Amino acid sequence: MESTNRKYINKIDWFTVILTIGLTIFGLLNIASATSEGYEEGTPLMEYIGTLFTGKFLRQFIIFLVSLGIAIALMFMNYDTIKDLNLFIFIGTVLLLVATLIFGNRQRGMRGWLTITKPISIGLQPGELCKIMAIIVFSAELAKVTEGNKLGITRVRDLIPLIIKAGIIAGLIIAQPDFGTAMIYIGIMLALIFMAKTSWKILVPLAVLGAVSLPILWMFLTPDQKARVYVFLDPSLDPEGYGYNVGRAKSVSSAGGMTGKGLFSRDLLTQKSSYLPEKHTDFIFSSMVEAIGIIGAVIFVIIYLLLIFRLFRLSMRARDDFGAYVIMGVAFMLAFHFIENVGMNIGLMPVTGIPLPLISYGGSNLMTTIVAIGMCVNIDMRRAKNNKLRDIVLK
Amino acid sequence: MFEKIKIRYITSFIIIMLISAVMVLKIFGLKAPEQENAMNKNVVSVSVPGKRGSIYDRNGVLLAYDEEAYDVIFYRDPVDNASSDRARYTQIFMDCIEIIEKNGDKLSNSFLITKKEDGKFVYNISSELTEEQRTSRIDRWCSNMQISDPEMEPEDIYYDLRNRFRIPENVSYEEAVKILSIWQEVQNNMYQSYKKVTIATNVSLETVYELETRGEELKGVEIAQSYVRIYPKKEVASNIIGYLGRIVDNQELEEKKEKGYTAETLLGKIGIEATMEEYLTGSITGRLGTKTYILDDKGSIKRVANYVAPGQGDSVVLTIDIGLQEVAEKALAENVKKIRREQEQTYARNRSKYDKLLNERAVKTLSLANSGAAIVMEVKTCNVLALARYPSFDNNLFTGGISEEDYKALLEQEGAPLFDNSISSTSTPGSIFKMATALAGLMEGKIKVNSVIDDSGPYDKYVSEGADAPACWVKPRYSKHGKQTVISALKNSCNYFFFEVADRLGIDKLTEWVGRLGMTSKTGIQLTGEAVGWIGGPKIIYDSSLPINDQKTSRPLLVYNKLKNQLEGYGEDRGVTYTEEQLEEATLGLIKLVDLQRLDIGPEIREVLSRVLDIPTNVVLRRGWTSEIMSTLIELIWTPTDTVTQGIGATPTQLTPIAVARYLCAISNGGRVYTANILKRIVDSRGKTIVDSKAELLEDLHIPEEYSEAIMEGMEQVVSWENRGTAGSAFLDFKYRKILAGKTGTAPISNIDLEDNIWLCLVAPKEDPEIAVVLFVPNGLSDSKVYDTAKAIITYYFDQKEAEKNS
Repeated sequence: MESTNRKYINKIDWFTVILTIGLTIFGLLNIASATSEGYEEGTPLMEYIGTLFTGKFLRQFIIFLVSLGIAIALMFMNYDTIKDLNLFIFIGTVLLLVATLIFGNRQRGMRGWLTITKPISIGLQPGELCKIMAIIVFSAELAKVTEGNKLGITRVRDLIPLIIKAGIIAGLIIAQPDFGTAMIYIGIMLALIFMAKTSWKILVPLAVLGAVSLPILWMFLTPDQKARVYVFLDPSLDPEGYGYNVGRAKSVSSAGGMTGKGLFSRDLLTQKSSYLPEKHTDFIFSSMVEAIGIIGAVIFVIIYLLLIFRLFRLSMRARDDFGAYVIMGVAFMLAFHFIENVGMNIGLMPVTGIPLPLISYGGSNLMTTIVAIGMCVNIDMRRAKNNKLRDIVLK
Repeated sequence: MFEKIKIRYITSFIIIMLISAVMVLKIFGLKAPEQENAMNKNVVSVSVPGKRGSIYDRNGVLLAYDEEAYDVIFYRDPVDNASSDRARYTQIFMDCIEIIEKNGDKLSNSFLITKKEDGKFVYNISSELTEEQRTSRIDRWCSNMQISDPEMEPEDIYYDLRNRFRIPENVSYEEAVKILSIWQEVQNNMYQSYKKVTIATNVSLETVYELETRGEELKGVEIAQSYVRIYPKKEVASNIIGYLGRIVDNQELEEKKEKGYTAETLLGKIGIEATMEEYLTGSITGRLGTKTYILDDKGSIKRVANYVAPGQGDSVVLTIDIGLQEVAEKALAENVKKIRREQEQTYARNRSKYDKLLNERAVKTLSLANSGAAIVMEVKTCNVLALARYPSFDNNLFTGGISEEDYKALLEQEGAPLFDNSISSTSTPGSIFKMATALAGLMEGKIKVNSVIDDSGPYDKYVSEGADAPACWVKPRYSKHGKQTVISALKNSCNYFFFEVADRLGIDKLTEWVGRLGMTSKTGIQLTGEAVGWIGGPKIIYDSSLPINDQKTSRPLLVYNKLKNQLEGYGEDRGVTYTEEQLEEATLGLIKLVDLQRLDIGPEIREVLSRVLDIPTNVVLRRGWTSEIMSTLIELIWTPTDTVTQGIGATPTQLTPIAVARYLCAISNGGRVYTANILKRIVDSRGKTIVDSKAELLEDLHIPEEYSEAIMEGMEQVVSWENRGTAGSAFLDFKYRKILAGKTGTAPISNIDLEDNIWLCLVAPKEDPEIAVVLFVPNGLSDSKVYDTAKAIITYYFDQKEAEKNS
């Protein structure tokens, strides 16, 4: 056992691990910068750093450590076990989401939080955590059909169990109602169907069906959400409401210029005052651009893409279809979050409550992302020595 | 596997790269154009409302005006957001509150959470809101107050906020909510921090001086100039002038926003303030001024860039004479109180008789006089000179928002001061209706000026032997009036005469003339809440197209209940218990027969009983149930007897006092029916008249002089002692009795004479009528007791005229 573990440790993909931890620490610094008072000349450095270890930064930091612990613990588990348990995972997911609907707390019109207040106050967003479980369920469903089957998916009925399960999960999230998060689930499902060698004869009609169903989904939006789409199309509609947030986000992003004002600068618009709402959560990208400048932001985008595409690489060399799909599911999850969040910050996308993984303040999302990437590393370290060899053997 | 799907990995890679490329381009694009945008964000404008127009009476006496006042406002620099800043501001608020209260000024407290008397904390939200509106209100508030969980107990939120805003432990609950109330407003404006928050309105100069001198330490606290609405005449004419308030309905707010109103704007809620809002207001686009601020990068106000002074609202001049109005209100108040005392004495004297009568009916409480209305109208122009009602209220109470207790007190006060019964109430007119019947009879040629009708006692033309017939009021003291002409019939208020005229006319013709005289339509007076009356008719007592509990009068419901009980009784007689559905179906089936509008509906009644309740026809016939049911149903069937009683304005006819005033004018001015007018003109802020208002002529009936004179002669004799008119003795010693003409009215509305409605109509001078006076006291005792008010009004008007002539 000892030697097996060592064998696996040697195969850990340190590139992914370092990128993940690096981005998270960078995110923590951003949260601290955006929510603190900024560094004043003359304050003893250690004293200033001491003041940072309070509030939002501290909370996020602790969650980061706990998440790392969970991810490492899960590393010891062969992912085949997870695959075998997929039906129970699905049932657990549904129960958790139903419980959220029943016992959850309302925030901004959504019933998406499960909270306990005693002995310490902890809030959990099952909509975030269930993303990992959903990826496992989707992947297992697809792998059942495609494992060892070179033709891939050629019959619609092979997809039906997957679509039903995904529909139930997305439906429960729409009921919260959190339309943005539900769209992420649907997106992951569609992306995985695409990756699972599904015949174009199925993909094309599916794409058409998706396009047709958009107007129907529109009906499920709350007036609040519709308003955000309208304002996205024409920000001048509501310059003091939602349009205000976007306008403010844009002015904040542009305030840093090419090189930025620097993290912890006292000049940051985001530091004091309520100049930018949600500056440490949904709009943290804008806060970041002000601090690190446009050049810094572009470098950040490149690093983030490196992480996503590194996961592509891990997927390509996975031992089996299930593993490959799980990693791609995580990669697409990151990609969708990244595109939507950065997009809304710079005015390319309508405003939704989709956070920027590893960077935005919010424990549930951070934990989900760390554990999900940990699972990818887990799958990757259990890969066969040589994929090509394995393929030949299977043939 | 790898070989097969490599292409899909590449496709995904390319798609994500393309999107990222667009994003990177957009990020580079953030630089130039958005910076301009950021510049624009640093200039903000707030609107400054202008002065509201004044309201004057016909002689230029000021009835309502805007006075310059000082408000205490607060501006929080958005940079100050740390916990230490909050503690500092809380201290500033406490100092500020102390200064304001020390000088006797009031704070505007609107904190959403209150502690009830039992110590429980609750949201102070109007119970009229639906559950959904309530939740959204709480959600919005919690999000503004940055409370993460809106389902927290209000008490916990309260302590949470105390803690957050660093209110010291030793501050009492009462003080804490004042501070939290200010914080609440500050939080509401979080994203528009350049908008300042009002702490107190209309403060005294002492407060202003003290706050100004302590300006340095009270950072953010400022004094702003504003306006406060003053009603110098207080209770007098408050029903006409009305009051201001904020827009409460969200939908209304949305509509009004286009005109420039905001949630804070005060606008007219009732009366002239409401109907003339578009002229009076200084808060609509075009009159609003603007103040433009330059903000720095952090959102703090750097300086004022531009100021455009607001315009002023137009002033409104009314046709009323405030002196006359005051006299009328005072006299009416005294008069109603006097009637009330008399009623109480009468009741005490005949207690056993009245208690027995009370016992016989459903409503066990006795309604005594507690309100009244007095209207003075110019006969030839239909301009309103006075529109008084009792009780009154002080509309200054509403300035700056009426307090909960004051409003509750007004709503619960006896006589409902907020309900203007001069225009909003309808009531049975009784004998004052008779001029209309007389005029209709004459105009239709059914009687002539010298036609004689012989009052032979009960009017039993349509009543079978032995039953009660409508009779004249002189019974039982005398048996009858004998031979009557239209003149003597008016003088004596002889019912028989008008029964006969109404019978000759028929209900359709009578209804037509009442309509043409403007009695059953709105007068169009420029006030809020005018009601409209009606004359009795088949559709008034029972309209089969409407559900049973949605009828003009309560009669159909009473009949329904009585009938249902009867049918249940028949079931008991036969030893059968009918289901609720059966009883309902049978009752409604029987009431439906009313639509046939005839009395011989025996077969139809028997058919319903046999079909729905399974009672054989012979049983019904044997037990005489047909006629029992018929005698109940007849209440809803319009009979010739009903037509006849409409001739004397009996129930179910109901009129509004203002419509009676217009009809009295038409009778006295040769038949010209106008809209009622209370607006003389509207003058803009430069003194130019922009609207000249006159009553609109709706119809000229061209009443032949002969008829007018006859009716006037009859009305003259009513108030004449020599002719023993019904009001002769009342005016015996009255200074102006020689120029008066009029008509009294007593309308029974229940089985107890104390509850009768009383009316008095007067016209003066009788030769060439100038003013018409209508007095109305609901539940005002059996005889017209409003002479005191009438005398006061007539005396004031003609004394004034006399004085003008002499000067």
